[in-house]
Amino acid sequence: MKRVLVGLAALAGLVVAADGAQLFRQTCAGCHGATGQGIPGVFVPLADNPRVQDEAYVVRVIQEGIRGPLEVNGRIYQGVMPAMPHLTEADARAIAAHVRGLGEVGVPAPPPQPIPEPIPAEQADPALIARGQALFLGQQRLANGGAPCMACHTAGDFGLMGGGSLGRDLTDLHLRLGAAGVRGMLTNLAAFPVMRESYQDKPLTPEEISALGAYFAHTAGPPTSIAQRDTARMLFAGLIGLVVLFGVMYLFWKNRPVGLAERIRTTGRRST
Amino acid sequence: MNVRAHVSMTFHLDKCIGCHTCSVACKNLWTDRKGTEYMWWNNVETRPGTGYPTGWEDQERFKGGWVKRNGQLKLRLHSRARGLTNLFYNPALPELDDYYEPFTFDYQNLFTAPEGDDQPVARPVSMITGEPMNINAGPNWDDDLGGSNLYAENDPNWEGVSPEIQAQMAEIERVAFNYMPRICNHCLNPTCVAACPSGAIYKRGEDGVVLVNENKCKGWRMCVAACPYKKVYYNWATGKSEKCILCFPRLETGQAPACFHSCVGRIRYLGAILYDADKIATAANAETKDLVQAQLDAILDPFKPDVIAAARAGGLGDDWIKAAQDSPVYKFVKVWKLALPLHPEYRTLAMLFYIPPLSPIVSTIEDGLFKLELPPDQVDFELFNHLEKARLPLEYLANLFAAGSVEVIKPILRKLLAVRIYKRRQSVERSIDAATLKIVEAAGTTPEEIEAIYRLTAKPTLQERFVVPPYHREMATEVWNDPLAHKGETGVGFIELPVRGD
Repeated sequence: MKRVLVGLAALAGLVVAADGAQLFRQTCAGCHGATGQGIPGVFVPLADNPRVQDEAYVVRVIQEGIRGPLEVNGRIYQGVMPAMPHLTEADARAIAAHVRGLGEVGVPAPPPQPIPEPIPAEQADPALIARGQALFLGQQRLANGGAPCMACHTAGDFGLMGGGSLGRDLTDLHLRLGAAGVRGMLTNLAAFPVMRESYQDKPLTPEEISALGAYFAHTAGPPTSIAQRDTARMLFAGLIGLVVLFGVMYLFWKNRPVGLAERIRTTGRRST
Repeated sequence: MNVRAHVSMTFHLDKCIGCHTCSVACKNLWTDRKGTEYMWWNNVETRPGTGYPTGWEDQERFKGGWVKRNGQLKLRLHSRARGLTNLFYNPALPELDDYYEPFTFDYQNLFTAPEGDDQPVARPVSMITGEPMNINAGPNWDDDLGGSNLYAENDPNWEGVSPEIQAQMAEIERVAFNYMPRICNHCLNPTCVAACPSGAIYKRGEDGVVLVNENKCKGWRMCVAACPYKKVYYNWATGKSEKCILCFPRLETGQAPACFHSCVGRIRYLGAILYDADKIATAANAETKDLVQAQLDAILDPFKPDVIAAARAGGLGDDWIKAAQDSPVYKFVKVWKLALPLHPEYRTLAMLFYIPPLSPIVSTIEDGLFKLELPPDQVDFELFNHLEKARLPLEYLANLFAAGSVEVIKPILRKLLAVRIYKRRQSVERSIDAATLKIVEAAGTTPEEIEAIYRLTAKPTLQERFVVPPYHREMATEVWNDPLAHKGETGVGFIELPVRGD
């Protein structure tokens, strides 16, 4: 019985895995582009990439993820690709087949472009940035019902308590990926294994993506300093809280009822 | 008339020598188990003093007993609603500090200590933590005043005693104390029973012994707080409350309780009395000054034909009526009116009666010599008329035994003194003079009564001190088992130990 089930599951996997193109659209296109053109300086192009011809390599990258810098056709790419454990090996093979086909279709690789400079904060619409922050913080709902970013991440300065610390600090997201990279990631949140559960049926709308993109561009900066400052603030506040707590406890302790025996022992005189 | 029998007690405080044999007998028999180390179902206190647990009479702190509010008896501990809110935190409960941290000594060290320059010692070790500790409290820490006046000063019974007399009591040449052994009073109107949320405490029908059903007890500890005498204890090992059981297994086999039996001063008397259950409510509700008399009114004369008839109608056997007629307690309490319940103002109608102690005459030191405050040649006679010159102040004794009413204490002390004067004259001078007879008359007694009091006080036999009525357990057993088979099977089978939280 068990063997039959396993066989059925494998068969179902094959059936599901059959459509490599669809899987590519769902999981890869967000960063690598619909035609696999990639984003210069961040995400490697898949079309016109000699390494995608190695199926085993592609499958391994899909299953284990990969981290830049990578060199393709003489250019350096700094992006990070998470592992996709939710894809079966059959899925990965189907995607690999599709990726291999990208070059064969004859899509010309886009000409190398210079890395676009991050949009300076002054140029972005303040209203858009504010909306992006509201979306990030959850003050404004995401249209499709996804969880607000701050549930897990922090980006920029959110005061004493900071943002979420479960996920990565996104302050430097814009610096790392650039505007196009950020947009690509936001388009395809479900690509990240952890985020997939929250966002696979609740993608961000284009307006939200642009607003969040503007916000990330606005807050772009080195992340560590903020984290350190927050830690220092937290410690300071904790210290004050501790002193207050002990003070209150002392008041209670001082006024606790003391037994007659102890009163006689300590004061040695008549109690009233 | 609803006649019931009660196995009741009298302690003659004039005879107590404060040896703690009763406490040790009880400890060895009942409270040498884990979780009961700190319990003293029987303890002996030095009075004036704070007792055990320390300051137990301070009901502002411990909230024991009944109070009369709007003509109705209420638990001092709490109302029903308050009891519910305090279910998990009851501030009136005595803490370990109010008792003491039980300790033992590391005797093993005396044998196993390595050779060294110093004599090995047995360090005190806490029986709770097992760690070495410094002993700074005990169940009789202020025994014989404990070497200082601190504990005596903090006795709650000084209320109403003038500051001058209190100051006098602090002077070494005027100091006086007496012993007061205490066990559960097996009250007629017990607050522990009333306060128990689980209904685990009950007063036994046949003899009035108040018992905790260990299988029903849920460890709420309301009884511990509600008992004004602090004679219910919480066993931390079993999570159940325990208290003096008046050695009912001994009673049922015709023996006196262990503390009674072991008493070297023979101060303890045990016997059945008949009381009118219909009068309990009246007695508990009486005005504070009438409390003692109201309680005595509830105790019936076992010789009266109508009482005997009512007792028989109520299911009491002739042997119990006979036991009530022979009871030394009945004689002390009702016939001679010498014994009083401890703190009647708690309104629990305690069924343990104390005969208050006589005390020496106040003296002062002048030119390095003791000077009695009464002429020394006729000291007894003078004291009879000047009881206020006794070292233990009347008000103090009244606070202990008569809800503060000196008028209740005075005739008892006068009668006790009359017995003493009469018997002293008789044995020393071999004749009774007119002055002595006058004293006897003034004390409201007769030479015959004095002789009877003397006999039961000074030379009673075991059978006269302990009149344990026949319990006829075989008849109770008959209901569910063959008595002979039951006797043979005793000790065979399974004992269900109390289980925490069960």
